[in-house]
Amino acid sequence: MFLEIRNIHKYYSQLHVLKGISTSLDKGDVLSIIGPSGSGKSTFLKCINFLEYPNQGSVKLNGELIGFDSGGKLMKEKIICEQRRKFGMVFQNFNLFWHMNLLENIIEAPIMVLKKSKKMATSEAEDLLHKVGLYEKRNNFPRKLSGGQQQRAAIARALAMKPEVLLFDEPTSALDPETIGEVLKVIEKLADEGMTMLVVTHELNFAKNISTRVMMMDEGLIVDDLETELFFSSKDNIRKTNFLGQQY
Amino acid sequence: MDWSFFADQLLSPSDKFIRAFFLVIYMSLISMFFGIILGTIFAFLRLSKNFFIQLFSFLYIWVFRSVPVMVWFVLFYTGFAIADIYRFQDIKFFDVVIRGNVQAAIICLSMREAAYMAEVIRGGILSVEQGQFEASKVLGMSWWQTMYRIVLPQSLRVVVPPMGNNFNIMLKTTALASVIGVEELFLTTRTISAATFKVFEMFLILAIAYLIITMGWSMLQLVMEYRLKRHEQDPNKTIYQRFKLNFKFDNNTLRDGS
Repeated sequence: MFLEIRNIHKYYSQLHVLKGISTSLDKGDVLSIIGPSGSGKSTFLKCINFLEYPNQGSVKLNGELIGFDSGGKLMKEKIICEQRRKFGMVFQNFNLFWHMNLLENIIEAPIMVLKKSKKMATSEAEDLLHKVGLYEKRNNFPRKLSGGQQQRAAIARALAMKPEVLLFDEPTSALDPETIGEVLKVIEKLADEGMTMLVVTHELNFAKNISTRVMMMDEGLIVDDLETELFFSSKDNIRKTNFLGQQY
Repeated sequence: MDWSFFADQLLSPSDKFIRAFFLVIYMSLISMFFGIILGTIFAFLRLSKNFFIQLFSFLYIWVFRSVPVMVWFVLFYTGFAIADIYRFQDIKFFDVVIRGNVQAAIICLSMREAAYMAEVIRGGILSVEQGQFEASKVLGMSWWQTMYRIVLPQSLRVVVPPMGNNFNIMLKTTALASVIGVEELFLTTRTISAATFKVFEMFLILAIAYLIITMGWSMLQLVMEYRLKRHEQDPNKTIYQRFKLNFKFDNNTLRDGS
């Protein structure tokens, strides 16, 4: 297995947010995570790249343990920081650096972290901007762009670090219905290229189209985790069918 | 009112007055420079997770904001010398002699400024959205890189207006250094007016001198704030068009902020 996640538990003081989440992905798999608000989807995503430290559990990428060592002890901050780079992340609120233009946004980390030359980083960034269709906007500042454009730029920024896995935290929730399409198209393109991705989303149709598997979470537990077709066709799980019923 | 004396002193001030004029400027600039650096350090200490480091920073800020800077001047310069703790000596810096009392004044002003700036910069850092920290973290940037490249530049938008305010106050606080005999504008004016008995004329000139200094600073601040708005500007407009847009003071610009 390319990415193996075992028995993740997360507490916020007394609150038990994740109650043992396990799943695994092959290279090129796309896992969509759906579920009601407050079910721990985002927290789960953040526990995978140790943006939040899970209290228990293990994450293994390509056979390498992430965050916790084999004894279950937290690794040094510096090592976790390096491991975190293998997971690109795209946020609901884009979180572009608003004091830099798009090009600067994308080349920032490759230059500062990967120590690439400015020339090299720029040419790579320009390729990425072409890919997400924002090359003409490369000198614009994020706040002058629409939400869809910002989110596509954020995807390009994540890709510039050449991540092995991409995590999407509700990438379209802050967008208006008209611009959602352009972002989804970019994500779809990545899926076709064989990117391994975990996507937290409320777009059920989108989940149906791109994912190899769909997982539903509720109250920190997995309700169902099945192949896409099976997930939408099986009716044995009442909690799931209720949720899906409301959505359609 | 002796107009001819006034005009004469205003248009061709004595060397002493000019020296005092520039002393005010360079004392303020140096103090502000150290004040900002120290203030940034204290802001970070104040935001530290360690309780004792936080407490240390809190106490520093409390002490230096509570005691009037005039008291610090006398305490540092006269007090230290009399108590035999430290005597400020004149030092020669290339060709410029920096008087002992000027050094003491700069130290006191810097330390006081650090206390005020620490709070301003802390506010600036807190104003940066959590998402920016998360984004930097995900991209693998270190704490230093995040602060230097992302957080501090973004906090400038919040920090610069009160910082300009502080500097303006600083320019005028230098007048208090006259208590330890620093020959800045106030003391010099007093000396001249005592010798010539033209108190009204001389102090009118002093007021104009301060106006000129602060006006220069205000212009500089406008330019700085304009530069900081780079992210809101349309790169396709000419510099003149952008400048005009930024400095229109009618209601419309205030409302949509562009």
